[in-house]
Formats: sequence, C-alpha cells, structure tokens
Amino acid sequence: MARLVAFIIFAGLWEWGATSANSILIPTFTETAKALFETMFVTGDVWPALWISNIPMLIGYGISVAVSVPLGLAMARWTVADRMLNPITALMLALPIAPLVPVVLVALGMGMTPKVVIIILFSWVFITTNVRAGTRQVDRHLVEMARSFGASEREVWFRILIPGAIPAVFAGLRIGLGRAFAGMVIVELIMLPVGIGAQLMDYRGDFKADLLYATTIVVVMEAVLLAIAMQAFERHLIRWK
Amino acid sequence: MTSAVQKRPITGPEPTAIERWLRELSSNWGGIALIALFWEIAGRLLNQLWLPPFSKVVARLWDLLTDGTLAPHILSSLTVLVTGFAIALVFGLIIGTLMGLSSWVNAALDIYVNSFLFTPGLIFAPILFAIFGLSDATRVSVVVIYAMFIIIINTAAAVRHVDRPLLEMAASYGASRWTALVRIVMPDAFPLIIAGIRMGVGRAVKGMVNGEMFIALIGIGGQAAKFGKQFDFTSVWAISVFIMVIAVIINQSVSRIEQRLTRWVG
Amino acid sequence: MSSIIDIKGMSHAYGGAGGTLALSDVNLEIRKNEFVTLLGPSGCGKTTLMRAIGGLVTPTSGSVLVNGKQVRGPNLDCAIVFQNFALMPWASVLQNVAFGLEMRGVGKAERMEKAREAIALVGLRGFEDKYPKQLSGGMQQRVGLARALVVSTPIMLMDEPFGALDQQTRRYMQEELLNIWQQDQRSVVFVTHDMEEAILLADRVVLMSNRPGRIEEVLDINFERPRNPEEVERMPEFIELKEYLWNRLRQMHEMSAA
Ligand SMILES: Nc1ncnc2c1ncn2[C@@H]1O[C@H](COP(=O)(O)OP(=O)(O)O)[C@@H](O)[C@H]1O
Ligand SMILES: [Mg+2]
Repeated sequence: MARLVAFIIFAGLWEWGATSANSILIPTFTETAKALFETMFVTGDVWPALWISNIPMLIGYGISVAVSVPLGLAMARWTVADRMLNPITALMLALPIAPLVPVVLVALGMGMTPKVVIIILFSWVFITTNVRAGTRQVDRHLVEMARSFGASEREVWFRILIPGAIPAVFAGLRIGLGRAFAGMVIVELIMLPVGIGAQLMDYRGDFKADLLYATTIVVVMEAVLLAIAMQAFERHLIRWK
Repeated sequence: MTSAVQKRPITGPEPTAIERWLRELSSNWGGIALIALFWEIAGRLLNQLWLPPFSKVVARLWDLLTDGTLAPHILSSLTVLVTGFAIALVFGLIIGTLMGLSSWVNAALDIYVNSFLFTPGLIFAPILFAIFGLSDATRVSVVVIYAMFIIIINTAAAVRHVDRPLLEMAASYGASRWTALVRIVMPDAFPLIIAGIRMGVGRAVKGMVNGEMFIALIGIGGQAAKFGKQFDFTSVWAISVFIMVIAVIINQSVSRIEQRLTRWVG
Repeated sequence: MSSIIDIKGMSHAYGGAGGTLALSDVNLEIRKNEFVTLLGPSGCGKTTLMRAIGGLVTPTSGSVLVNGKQVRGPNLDCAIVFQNFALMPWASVLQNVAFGLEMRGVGKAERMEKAREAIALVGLRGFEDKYPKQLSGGMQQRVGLARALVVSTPIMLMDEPFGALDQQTRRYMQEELLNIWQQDQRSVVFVTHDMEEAILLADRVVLMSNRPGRIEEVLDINFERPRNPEEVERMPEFIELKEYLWNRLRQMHEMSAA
C-alpha cells in the first residue's frame, strides 16, 4: 500500500517535472516507461548490449571467486599466509582501479582479456578480506570442542571451519559480485564502451533521452535482481542463522 | 555463568590492542616496502611503458604536485567531494531517521534506497551529464548518489533496532516521545549511524574519482583520464598512488574520529 | 582405590611464562569412579584445570597423568561439557549430540540411535531437528551434556554445566546426573560456583582460590549414596558444611578485594 502510494507520487512528480522542464534531455515518466517496454520487448535492443557487457563480468567474477575464497581461508588459518598477503590486501583495498584501466589496456591489448582482468582487480580483494574476516570469527571454542572429541585437522576443517565460514564466504561472494558489476559499468563508461556503455553513449549523443533513461533502468534492474538472487541463495543455504 | 558464548579469532591467543596495532603496522609497512621494491625491480626489468619503476612514479608525483599541474584540480575535486558529501549527509540522516521511525515511510522508500545501494552509481553518469553538462553539479550528484544511500540504510536500521527495554525504561520514567528520541534513540543508534557515515565517506571518494574519470576533463580523476589517453602512464600511476594515499588518510581520520566518538560502546 | 587422574605440581600461565598465571602448583589425585567438584570464585582457574585434564592446554610446568600416562593433546578418555556450550550453530541438536560418536567412527545408524536416547535422557525429546539458535540457554546446555554423555568415557569433565538452568530444571538435572553416574560408574570432575551443588554431588569438594589460582582445601563429603538431594539438604552436617564453605569463600573475597 505504502509502496503503491509512493510509486504514484514519484511517477506523478517525475511526469510533472519533466513536462514543465520541457527539455529534450529529460523524458517524462510515461515516455520512459514506453521506451523501457520497447527496448525490452518490442525491439529487444537492450539484450545483446547487456549480454556483451555481462560476459567478461561473469568470467572475471568466476575467476575471482575461485582464487579469492581459498586465499581468504588460508589467511584466516595460517599466520604466515596472513602476514604475506596482508600488505597486498591493504594496498589493494585503497588503490583506485578506475584510473588504471588504460594501464591494463596497454598491458594486455584489446579484446576480452583486459576487461576480465579489470573485473578481477575490482572484486578479488573484497572477497578475500571478507572471507578472511568471517572465517576468523568462527568460534574458537568450537575448534577446541572438536579437538576434545578427537577430530583430526582435516575433520576440524570440514566439520567446523568450513561450515562456520560459509556465511562469511557468502557475504564475500555477494559483495564481490557487486564489485564485479561496478567494474563492468565503469569499464563500459570510461574506457571501452562496446555493450551497454556504448548504447548509453549513443542514446545520449542522439538525444534519445527516453531510451537513455530506459536502458539505465534495465541496468539498475539487473543489479537489483543479482543482489536479490544472491541473498535468496544465501538465506536458503544458511537457514541455521 | 561467567561468560556467554564469546567469539574470538581462531589463530593463537589474543594480543592486546597496542600489540596488534604495532604488529600490523610493522608487518604491513615491511610488506609495503617490499611491494615497492618489487615494483621498482619489475619496472626496470620489464621496461614496459605501462609499468614505470616506482621511483619514477614518485618523482613524477612530486613534479606534478610542485609544478602546479595538480593543485587547481585537487582543489576542484575536494570542493566537489565536500559539497556532495555534505548534501548526502544531511539528506541521508533525515531520510534514514524518517524511515527508521515510520514503517510507512520505510515501506514506501526501501525499494528505491536498496536499488540505489546495489547499483554502481556511475551508471547514472550519462543521465546526469545529459542534464547538467560540464557544470560541477554533475560531479556533485555522482558523489551524492555514491554516498547517500549507505547513510540512509544504516541510519534507518539503527533507529529501527533501537533497544526496546531502554525505550520502555524511558517511558516508565515519563519521557516524552521527543525526549525519548533525543535521549535514547539517537545515542543508541549513534554507533551504527557513524559506521554508515564512515562508509559513505569512502564511497564519496570513489564517486568523485569515477565521476571525474567519466567526464575526463576536470579534477584529479579527469587528469588521470587525460594522461591515460596520452599514454603517459607514469603520471597515471602517480595520480593513482596520490588518490590512494588521500583515500587512506581520509579513511584513517574518519575511523579515528569514529573510535573517539563511540568509545563508550566498548 | 587406584587414581585415574594424577596432577603433580602443575602451573599454567596463558601466553607462556610471564603471562597471566592462571594456576599455581596444583596437586590433585582423582580416583576411579569418584565424583569431584571444583568450587571457587570466577577466574580462579577452574576451567583451565579442566582443560589441562582434557588435554586442551599443555601446562607450562608440572604434569597431568591420566591412567598413568602423561596427557599430550586432546584426551579421548574425557568427554567435556563446555561452559559456553560449544554447539555448532549450523548443525541440528541430533547432529550436535552425535558429533563425538562420529569422530570416534561409530556408524550412522548406531550413533543416531544413541544420540536420540541421550537427547531423551536430558529431557529434550522432540527437539532433535532444531538448531541451537532455536533453543533457550538451558536447553543448549543440556545438548552439550547429552553430547558428552553419549560417548561414555571413563572421565567426564563438566564446566558449570547447570549454570544456565532455572532452579527446577537444575534440580532435575542434578538428580538425573547422580542416577547416571550411579548406574554406569565413571569419574566426574564438575565445576560449579554454587556451594550447595558442590556439596550435594561430590565425594570431595576441591576449594580453589584466586590470584594465582591454587587449591585451598579439599573436603571429604560422606553423605550416603545413592543420595536424595532433598534429604541431604535438610541434614545438619550439610548446613554446617555450607556455612563453612560460605565463610571460606567470603574470606577469599575479602582478601582479594583488599
Ligand atoms: N585463553 C586465555 N588467554 C589468557 N588468559 C586466560 C585465558 N583463559 C583464561 N585466562 C585467564 O586465566 C585465569 C583463569 O581463568 P579460568 O580458568 O577460565 O577461570 P574460571 O573458570 O575459574 O573462571 C583468569 O584470570 C583468566 O582471565
Ligand atoms: Mg570457567
């Protein structure tokens, strides 16, 4: 109910504001809704662009997960690994990736590889640090309990540390996906507009404001859907929380 | 019962805070020095345009800072950052508090707030650029979009999850709604709100850099983009390192302030 | 009677010599099938002493022998009921109780059956499939108790196992524990800070004191077995003992406050 009222107010304000601004750059709510419907279901223009942008994101994210989760677990369990990797993660957390995009491009050439690498650069450190922090939070008393009942190191890993770390791993995966997605958007918008970024630039250049807005909304919807899917998956797996 | 279930790190006994800080600092500085050394050697051996040795990067940063190339851009960036963050802070706190207090407001807005939170803020840059063009308003609004929603979310959560027994206590001593808000709700919510503000600062810096990279003309990010297009990677690295140092300094100061302000949380 | 646990000149400091001295020169022999309670103010090293017997800490000096052998690493002759419950939050009550049997390589069907029995014994029938978060503190503590009971070790180490229970459940659990112990005998080291509980259950009460933790006095408790707690509590000797312990603990408190 509240949502509906808010939506109507929001749409009404938009419609009224855009009409009175009467600018070629600001579409009304109804124009945007129409363009959204068209680009999604009539012309279908948005899908190929979205797909092109998403491929490197998915590959990069996959690689990032495969590398970062074990790194985070190792850092949580072994002081040596922690000592070695801590300076790197500390630096990487603070290093801005966006300005370095051209550096990666020159180092790796054109094509898909630099994009995948940039996505990895955007996401890996967040996954690793989250997994590390969460795994360290696993109740130390449980390790002691397991030992007292005769658990081996292997059993401690599989029965205590890994199940205990799962919430943290998932938090890491969720945050990492958000970062990979941000990496995709940033690459598209500031350096290599080939997919959704190229489309947005074209619409802006051609003053197709309605499609510019509609396409932006599609990207927002994808981000929200990904986040919701991750959360649902997480909740499904971690019912004991 | 002497202790409830306590969570401790699983590696070794817990060092004191000072020990931990010293250890972290020394190990990290050692490690950072190693990384710089490694960078220097790799830069000299590979001899690639995209990886200049660390010493060259530092020297270039010094030049850029002293010859006046960067100064106006730094000033411009900081103005945008401060303006954008201030707007994000004011609106974030107000909207967040309203969402925390009223389930109606919360239900009305949570979809939008969460959507903005999940979405990389830069996606709105083309729209903002179409509306505001090259004026500072474009960059300021990117910063606002980056920073505001995390402040809203944390403030709303903090206000909503205020300690019920504490509120009942206040009511039983005759506190009015307003008094309860000022004396109980806000102090109780304070640590979480501050944490949201800290994250907001971090995001604001990102928004500033990314927004400027997008416009590719003004501010530090704009300079980085310009040098990138000219294949002047020594300058790109110099600016990246500079942004990193600034980000760390801002982050540390905010954390320091946060700790100072929330000492009573223990 | 032969001793099953033999602690000689044991001291322990956390963080190595020079760290917090938790226990200083402890000497204690515990006989087979004996029920010993450790009583003392919090922080006097009761948990540390139990962890040393269970092999979870290696004392910085002195020795702990179980069955004549030096304890090195986790001691599988002991089952521990942990003060903080130490339940796996992601595992059901049934899986938690069966954990010890699983680690000992007991087959699935058998360990599930035994775990169910133990769960019924501690009064938790019907809660087998719940997660720890869904139980009250007292119920969680009973899950920990069932997990320790079910591995039937010759020694059971119980760290304030009834601390989170309300009075009635506590009494019920005390009686149940005495029954179990009476039936299939084993040695029990039972930590408590409740004087009445210490006397009611024990063959001997080990009174400990603070800073550094050490044994002050060991009292023999000679009430007839099997005991009925209600009856024992009314005996003049019980009241006398209680008063004595009360005074000793108060002295300690005043000493450490001074
Ligand atoms: N893991 C630990 N690291 C450092 N000190 C500890 C640790 N565990 C206990 N201590 C200290 O050792 C002393 C004895 O603790 P403990 O055995 O838990 O006492 P009790 O169980 O009698 O309350 C206390 O001063 C406590 O602070
Ligand atoms: Mg204790």
